[in-house]
Amino acid sequence: MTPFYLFAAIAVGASLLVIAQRNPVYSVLLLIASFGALSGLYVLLDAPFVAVIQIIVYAGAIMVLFLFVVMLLNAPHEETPYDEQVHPLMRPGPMRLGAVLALGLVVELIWALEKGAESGRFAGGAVSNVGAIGRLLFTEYAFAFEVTSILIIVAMVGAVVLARREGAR
Amino acid sequence: MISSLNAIVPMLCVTAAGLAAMVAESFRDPGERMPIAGLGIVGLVGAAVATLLLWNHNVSSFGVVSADNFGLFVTWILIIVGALSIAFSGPTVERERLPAGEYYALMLFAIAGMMLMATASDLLIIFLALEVLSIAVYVLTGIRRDSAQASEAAFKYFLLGAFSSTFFLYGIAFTYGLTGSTHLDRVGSLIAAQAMAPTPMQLLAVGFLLVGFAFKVSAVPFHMWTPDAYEGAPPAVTGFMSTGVKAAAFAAFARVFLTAFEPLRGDWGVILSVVAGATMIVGTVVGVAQSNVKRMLAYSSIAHGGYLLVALIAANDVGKGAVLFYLLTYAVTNLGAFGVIAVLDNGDRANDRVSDYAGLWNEHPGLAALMTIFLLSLGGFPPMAGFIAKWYVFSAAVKAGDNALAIIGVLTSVVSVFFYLRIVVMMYMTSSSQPLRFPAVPKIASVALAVSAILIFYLGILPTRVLDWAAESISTIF
Repeated sequence: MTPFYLFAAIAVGASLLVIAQRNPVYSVLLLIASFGALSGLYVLLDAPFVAVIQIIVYAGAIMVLFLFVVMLLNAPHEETPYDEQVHPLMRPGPMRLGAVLALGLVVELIWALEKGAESGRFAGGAVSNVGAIGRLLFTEYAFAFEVTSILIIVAMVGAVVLARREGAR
Repeated sequence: MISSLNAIVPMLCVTAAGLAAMVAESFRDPGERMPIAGLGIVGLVGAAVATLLLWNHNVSSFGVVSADNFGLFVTWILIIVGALSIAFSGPTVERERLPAGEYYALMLFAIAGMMLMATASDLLIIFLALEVLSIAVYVLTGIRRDSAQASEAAFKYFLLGAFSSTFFLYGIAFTYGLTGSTHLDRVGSLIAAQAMAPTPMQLLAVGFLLVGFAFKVSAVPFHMWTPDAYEGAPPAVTGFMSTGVKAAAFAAFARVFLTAFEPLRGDWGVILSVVAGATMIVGTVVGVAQSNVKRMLAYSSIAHGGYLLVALIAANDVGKGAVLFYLLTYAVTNLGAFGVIAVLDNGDRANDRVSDYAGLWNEHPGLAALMTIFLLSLGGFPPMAGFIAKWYVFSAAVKAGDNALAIIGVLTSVVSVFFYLRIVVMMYMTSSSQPLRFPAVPKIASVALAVSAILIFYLGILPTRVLDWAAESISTIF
């Protein structure tokens, strides 16, 4: 039970810190920590595949995208006197929207927990068996797997071509 | 085990050439000249030989790539497209100081993706192939990094393309949900076995896939990206993507809709007819108003996409070969026209406005004559290939009972002649105000242009053999 409390504490703590930051880049980085803890919880639930996907897709790809967007939009540095006095979350706009979203989530959670008894169970652990998925990937989907590698090469070459600094050749 | 690789040998050749181009670039000293384009040609020749050997053998690899004659015919078109595009790229790459290794590598990977898309018989593989070719083409569109116009074009193309890919993926997901398989044969038999009246889920799956394909072939109303992308890309790339991407997308389009979703033809046929009519009309009418040759040809290629859709809808016993024959003639003709634009581009000036063509006849009589051939073929004048292709498509439509589409097609063809002839008139009958604006034409490019012109006359005067091949090839899939 100890690992559960450890991961849960990290997840909850990091999530709280995400919304308490003034700098959006810190928020994104803390969200990664929260996702890491969540994937630990998935491991405890005997869902190793979901745990790995959580790390690769959410903590890896999607958060990089978040970070990219935050930097691309050049989020304003909150340094005016108004910003110093009033925390971003306490401002009228975000507060109302956040309250509505949070309320929606609470309702959704209650609904899910109530229904959980009848619908929430998945059949067996085979769904999330990393070995079975790997075997399928290298037998039935071997060709698709190889084509994906070409796809990644193309994307890599493209990224380098477009991002290379002028005169670095 | 080895024999099961046979069907993918053509794309393996091209992929290997792409990798070789990358390796060659990395060993190149700064300033050293390397025949990297030659590597691409070697790969394409290898693919051509492999395609010849595979002809009529109907082999399949991994159960997901089937090199039937239909796929191989399109592979042939793609090899021609690739070879001509590489030949036209030389002057652009040198003048704009583009990274040659990466440029040709991306082009070759895109060709490999197109070949895979044309031969794949599984929705998953079609999607992966689509992404391989799309990403390579997005990058090629924006490869002139110092040009704001090119960056804008690439960005628009990328965002809209990514968005349309999600539609395509949703279509695949719904299809999988309905049938439990992504393999076209199984999807086809299961859909045929399901109830006669189509369910909403089936229509949803067909609709999403239709949107995905319609975007790639730039059918109205999914054509918004086309003029910007075609104008912003280097002309050689524009020629490449307006023909290669279209050929590959139409091949997959035909394969998916004429095999797997054939039982639902009554439903998608109606939608596709509307789309085809709108595509022909919008492409032609808006094309008339353009003053930039690349933009004008972009709208012309939208209209030609409409004619191809008509061929797809009218794919009955009479008009079976029409899709493939039209793809071949369109590829050769359009690529030739963009080839002329590519060699006229002189770095400082793109020379791509209609008024820039004034007096071309006095300065470059050969180029003016070739451009005339390409434009007249696009407009559908006999004895050029475009005439036979259009005639074949429209007669197929009439035989299939789609008289309205045939009438729209003929009318829009007549209107389109107006803007093709505008350039011809400019070249011959207007004298130029500023002399010597055009660069010298490189040898390889002029050979490629001559080859395209010869092909156009061959297909226009002696079409029977190729028409028979086309009809024979498409009968291997349905």
